[in-house]
Amino acid sequence: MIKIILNQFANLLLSLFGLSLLSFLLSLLFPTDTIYSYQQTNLFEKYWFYLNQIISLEWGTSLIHGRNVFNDFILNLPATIELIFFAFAFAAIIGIPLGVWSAQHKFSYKDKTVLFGSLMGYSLPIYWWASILVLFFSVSLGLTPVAGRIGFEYEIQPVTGFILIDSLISDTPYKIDAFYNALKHLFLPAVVLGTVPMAIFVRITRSAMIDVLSSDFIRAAKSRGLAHHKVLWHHALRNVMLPVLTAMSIQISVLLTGILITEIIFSWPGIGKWLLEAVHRRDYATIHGGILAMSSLVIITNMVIQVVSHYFNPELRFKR
Amino acid sequence: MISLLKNFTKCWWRQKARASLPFLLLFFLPACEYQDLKPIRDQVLVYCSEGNPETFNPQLSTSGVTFDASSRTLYNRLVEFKPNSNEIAPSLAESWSISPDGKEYTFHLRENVSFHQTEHFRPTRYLNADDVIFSFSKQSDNSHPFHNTSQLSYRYYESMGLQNLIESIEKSGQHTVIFKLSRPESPFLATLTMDFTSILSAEYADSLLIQNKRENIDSLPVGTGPYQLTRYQPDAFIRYKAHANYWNGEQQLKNLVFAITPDPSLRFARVIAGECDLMTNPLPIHLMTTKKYPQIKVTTQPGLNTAFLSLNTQKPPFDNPQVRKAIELAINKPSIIKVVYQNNASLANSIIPPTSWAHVNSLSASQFDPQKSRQLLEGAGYASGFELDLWIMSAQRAYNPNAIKMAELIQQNLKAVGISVNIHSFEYATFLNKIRNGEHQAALAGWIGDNGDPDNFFTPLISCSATKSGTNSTFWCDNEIDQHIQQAKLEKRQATRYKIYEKLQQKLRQESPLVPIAHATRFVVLSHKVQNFKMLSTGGVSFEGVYLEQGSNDD
Repeated sequence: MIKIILNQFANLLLSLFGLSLLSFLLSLLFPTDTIYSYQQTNLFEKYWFYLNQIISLEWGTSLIHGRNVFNDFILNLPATIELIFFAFAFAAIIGIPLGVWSAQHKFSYKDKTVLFGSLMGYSLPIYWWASILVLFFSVSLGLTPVAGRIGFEYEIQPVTGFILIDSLISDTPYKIDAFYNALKHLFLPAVVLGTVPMAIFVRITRSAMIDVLSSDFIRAAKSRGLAHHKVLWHHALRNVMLPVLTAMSIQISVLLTGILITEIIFSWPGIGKWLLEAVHRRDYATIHGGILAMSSLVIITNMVIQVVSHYFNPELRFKR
Repeated sequence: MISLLKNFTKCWWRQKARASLPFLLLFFLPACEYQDLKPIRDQVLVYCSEGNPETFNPQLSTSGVTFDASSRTLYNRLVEFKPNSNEIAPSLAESWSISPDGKEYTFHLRENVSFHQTEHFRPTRYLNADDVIFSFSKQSDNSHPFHNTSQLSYRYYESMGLQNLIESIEKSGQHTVIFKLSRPESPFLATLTMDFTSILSAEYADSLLIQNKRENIDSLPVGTGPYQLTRYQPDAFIRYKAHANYWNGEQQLKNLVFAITPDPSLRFARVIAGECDLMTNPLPIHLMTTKKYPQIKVTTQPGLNTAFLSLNTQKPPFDNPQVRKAIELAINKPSIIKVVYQNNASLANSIIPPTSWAHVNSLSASQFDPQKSRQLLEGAGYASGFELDLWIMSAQRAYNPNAIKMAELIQQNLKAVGISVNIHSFEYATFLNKIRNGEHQAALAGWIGDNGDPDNFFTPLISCSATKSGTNSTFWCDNEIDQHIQQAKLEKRQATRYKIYEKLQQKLRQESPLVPIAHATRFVVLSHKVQNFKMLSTGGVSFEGVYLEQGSNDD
């Protein structure tokens, strides 16, 4: 296991090196002096200087409002993590059981309905889907808020940056209400962002389940007289989770692109909105920092998932 | 009693939830309405605003979004306009007198005016003459320690030509200030109602100087206004609370929030859903649907604004008046008014809107005439047309609900005369900055009058001094016109001024450094809860005296 972690870590360093090289070259294309004013003439020295600045978290200051880019990133990150977490939870909680259920009724009309639904979910343009949900749930029914992270009537001091935690530890008498209010605000964005991953989870779980259910060890378990639900949820699902885990690691990067659109639609103050606003303002320092941070996030989460799937999948562990 | 019981049975688990872990009951939540939340929502007025303020120091800006968030909430001026009139009323100055030669203005300041007490600053004295002198010399004096606190510059102060107009500001006693002018100027009192003349605290500045945090004066404001800033998160919200010691009485409304929502459709949805109480500049399409929603109402007002196509006369081919004229003839303004404004605007022949007394009715109307336009282009040597980079801003403004659509219509119009237009879109603050630096070839810009005086259109938009500060985005400078502008300012009688402005507008019609397009009608969509809200005649919103009707808390 240690060997695998080390291996992955080396992989990570290599990827980050490539990323830094790429973003360095990109930074040279920006209008001069927007991020760093290089004193060096040699390209390698410039790169070395750049690398030092990046590692010491000196990502420059925004060209528009003059604040530190890295601090801005940290300020906006919790909102995005919160959203991704709930979107993933939504996708997994709905998608995986639906896939299992669908596999059990394979080729029936139930299965076909689920498959049809998942194909729809997969092909929905996020922007359109969000507008429909907002129109229905927020404007017509008034059940959920239209946009934002929490109602403006609540003044929550940021401590951790995670609004669900901050609202509970704040000292207003309304903290429980504030918490619920924040949850309501999370609902629609999480559903919108989680729809595509959910559709993918359904399909992958379903096909993996069908595969696993027809394998010998399941037949053996069944013939030993184990209860149906035990075979399904204990023996089969563990094996189904492996491809799902791989799919998750790919979905992380898909989610990060989805976040750009979702955050803009719902006025969600996370890194996606932060980055897009910067693009619109031609705020090169922020664009540079934002891209660097988001790509690093994708690489790091991918690595973590790799390690986790190595841990769960003996096949991967003993292959070499 | 029955309703109490009903409430209890409906939400008994909610009570339990308060005591135990809230997580367990998440799924039941939507069934229970916000019964005990109503009071807290009724204490906050949420205004869906259009964008981030560039700064909280109104001296440094020319944008209405910034003024709404700074001067109109946080600060006061020496004098102000009476609501919806052109009459000037006392504000921080209780009374004033003007010397017979019109060159000396003496202001007597109100006593016991307190500044905001914030986390960072605790004022120890009331407003006095030093604050007034500080506020003006920060802008005029290049060597003033607070002159260079920001990358932004004092555009308004410069474009209004105050550095040449004001010779000195002196105090005589604690509460008397004397402005000495280099020449008589009739719009001077109107100038002092403008946002950039807001009064800042000299004492706060001194304390910042000691802490060596001078730039805080622009980002952590301390003023005398009805509200004070509590928190600002860019692209999300600005929070204010009522200023407890406000000289005009503490506001009934205790909390004010600006929810920064650039997308007009989202703003509209938020007002309908009750998340916002008020929004300005709805899209024409929203106005057609407002009748469906009983909880909101719409108020209108002919706007003191002009949308125009600004042609950078420093860059060919727009250094040639024939080409500029050709552009104007090629643009189909009535169709723009129909499509972009849904007829909620009047066609513009001049930069002065019809609501101003300087508007000239007899001005020759602009004709849509592509034939003649092509002839003019041929005459100027552009028979085969040319390429044109048209810059627009993504944010929607009071004078232009949809710059992209307008640009596309102009693109089609100009294609017919052989000019191919490339449209480039920028964020609001970036757009303004680039335009001021003269980087554009042509841009869809606009102007909202901020005092009732017509000079407020001429001086910033077409005078020579405004080419330096950049509010004159055409960079067109004509000595004869400039003389007319100056002359009109010296004149006291309105009839004589009108004559000068008439001549001026006719000359502009010939030269057309910019193509006036429309004067938009202004709309505010607001909830019925909002009481005592008045639109400012000069555009923008002010929340002084506004309060929320307390909703009944019955079942």
